[in-house]
Amino acid sequence: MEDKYEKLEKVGEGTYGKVYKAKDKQTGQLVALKKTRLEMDEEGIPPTALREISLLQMLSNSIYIVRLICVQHIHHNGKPLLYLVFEYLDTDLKKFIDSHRKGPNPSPLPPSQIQSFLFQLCKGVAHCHGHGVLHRDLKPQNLLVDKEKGILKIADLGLGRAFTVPLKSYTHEIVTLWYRAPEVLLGSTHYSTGVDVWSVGCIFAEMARRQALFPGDSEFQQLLHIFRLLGTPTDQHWPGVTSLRDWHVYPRWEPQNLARVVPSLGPDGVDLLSKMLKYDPADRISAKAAMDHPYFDSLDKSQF
Amino acid sequence: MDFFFDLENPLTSFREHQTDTVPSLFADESVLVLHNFPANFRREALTVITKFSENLDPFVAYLAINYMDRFFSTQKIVNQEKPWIVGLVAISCLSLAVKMKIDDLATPKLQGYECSIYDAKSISRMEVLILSSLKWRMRSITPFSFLYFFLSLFQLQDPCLSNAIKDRASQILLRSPYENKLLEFRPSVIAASALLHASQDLMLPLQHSQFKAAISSCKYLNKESLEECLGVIRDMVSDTSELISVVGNQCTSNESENSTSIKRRKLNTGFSSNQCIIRFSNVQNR
Repeated sequence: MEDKYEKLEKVGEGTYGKVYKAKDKQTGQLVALKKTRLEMDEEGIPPTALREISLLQMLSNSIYIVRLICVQHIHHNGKPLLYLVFEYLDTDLKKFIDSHRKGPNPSPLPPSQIQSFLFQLCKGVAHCHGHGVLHRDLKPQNLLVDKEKGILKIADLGLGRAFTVPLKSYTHEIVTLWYRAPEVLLGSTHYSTGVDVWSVGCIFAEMARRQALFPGDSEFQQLLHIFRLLGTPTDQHWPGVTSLRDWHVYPRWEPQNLARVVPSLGPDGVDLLSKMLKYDPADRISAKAAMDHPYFDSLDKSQF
Repeated sequence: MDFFFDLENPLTSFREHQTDTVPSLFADESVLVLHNFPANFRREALTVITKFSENLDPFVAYLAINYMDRFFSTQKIVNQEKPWIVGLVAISCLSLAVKMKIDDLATPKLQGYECSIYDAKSISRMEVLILSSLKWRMRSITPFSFLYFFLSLFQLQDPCLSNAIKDRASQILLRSPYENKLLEFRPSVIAASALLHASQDLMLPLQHSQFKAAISSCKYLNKESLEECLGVIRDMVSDTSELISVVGNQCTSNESENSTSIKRRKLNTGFSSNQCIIRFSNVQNR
């Protein structure tokens, strides 16, 4: 490992450990190295790791998913460890949005850029869902961007058993709640593909606003943010909501006009956003159906 | 989210079949080149896998053979001076297949089968080597992946008939790795042939020819090799000696040693110091 790659700098704290930018000494190719906590024991590779990594390997053949180049195993202090080697992209959507908000000349993201990124995001999410995999932690930091080519790729997939650390990450970083679907916040255990579509909706709004749509700092605050904008849900709009595990009594807010929080989006964009932010997960648009929404009519889809 | 892996449905972790993965199945299937895996070595390795997977789901052994063939297709010539390597690869592939396929996370341990020459460490190291050679693509596309799709091309009114055909075809497929002549066909062709052969006795002639027409209409299927493959399967199924010879190999190599030294222990017995020795040299010199 140390022989093959030269670690250049720490580029982040993934949910399950440090991520390094590194260079392949032979080819000069830049890669992202992710150390996993998966240790090999005397029984060899653990089954969970085997299943998860082979699934990750299968998914990463879409260009909208960050490519898993290879898996390296190294001995560290006598313990065999697994490293995942991913393709390296120089920026992520969070930094990209920040540069439009705080940079030397702040300016909104061009509408065509938002449209293109959202389409690629939907395509990547549809790819995962088509293969039976939920991402469960979509957020701008997890979406890598190739600025030159205008490509967006989903990273940090594989939050399955071997990697799951739901609330606090491995490094005790607080995991952001801003993109978390209401059914997850309310303690539903049977959530499905809708959780990712909710996150996509939040990210869509954030690209248009250049700031987060629901910036809660606790699960309770997060729900209040959502309810204040979309109205407090009732069993009538979302059957079963008041029986969810973490449901409490909340102030009763009326739904606000969604267009007011995303003034730069046209009616088609607002309509798509509202379909991604439906309370009842069963009513929420699928990533695949979203790709056919009229919002994308003006996009040249043949390039994707 | 579990990471359910079904040979019939390798490209998703859904338990239901997804029609949109069909083109990728055909695009990604391949014929393995096993020039560097001499037939006698392969036969020996099959014997090892058969022997050690007796109490396991037959699909586990099938998957292990697939990993093994794929592994050897990436290797240069097998070192004739180290015939034990073949056995180690076979056992390691079986260990990987168990981990991929057995749903219960308390994976049955293969440790009971460890032998003095195949200690846990060697198996573990070989697993890693196999994984990197296979680029961690462990959700293999095999003939099983195509069964559902081909069956769906023909609207069978009777679900029992459809299940019966699939079961028979699956039995044929489970035997297919032991027939060397089938190694040169694409997995989709083997699947289509197995279904056609399996359905022959279960359908009226007219219905069967309609079924054949439906399968042949598939634009991705290589029709030229279909007839040829069907012929090989027909011969394989009618020739029962094939199976017997596979089983027979185990017993003839060294009767007394097999019965005393190779103690098959129950799964989950954990590590034991009882050693067993597989003498590949015996088998090889036969």
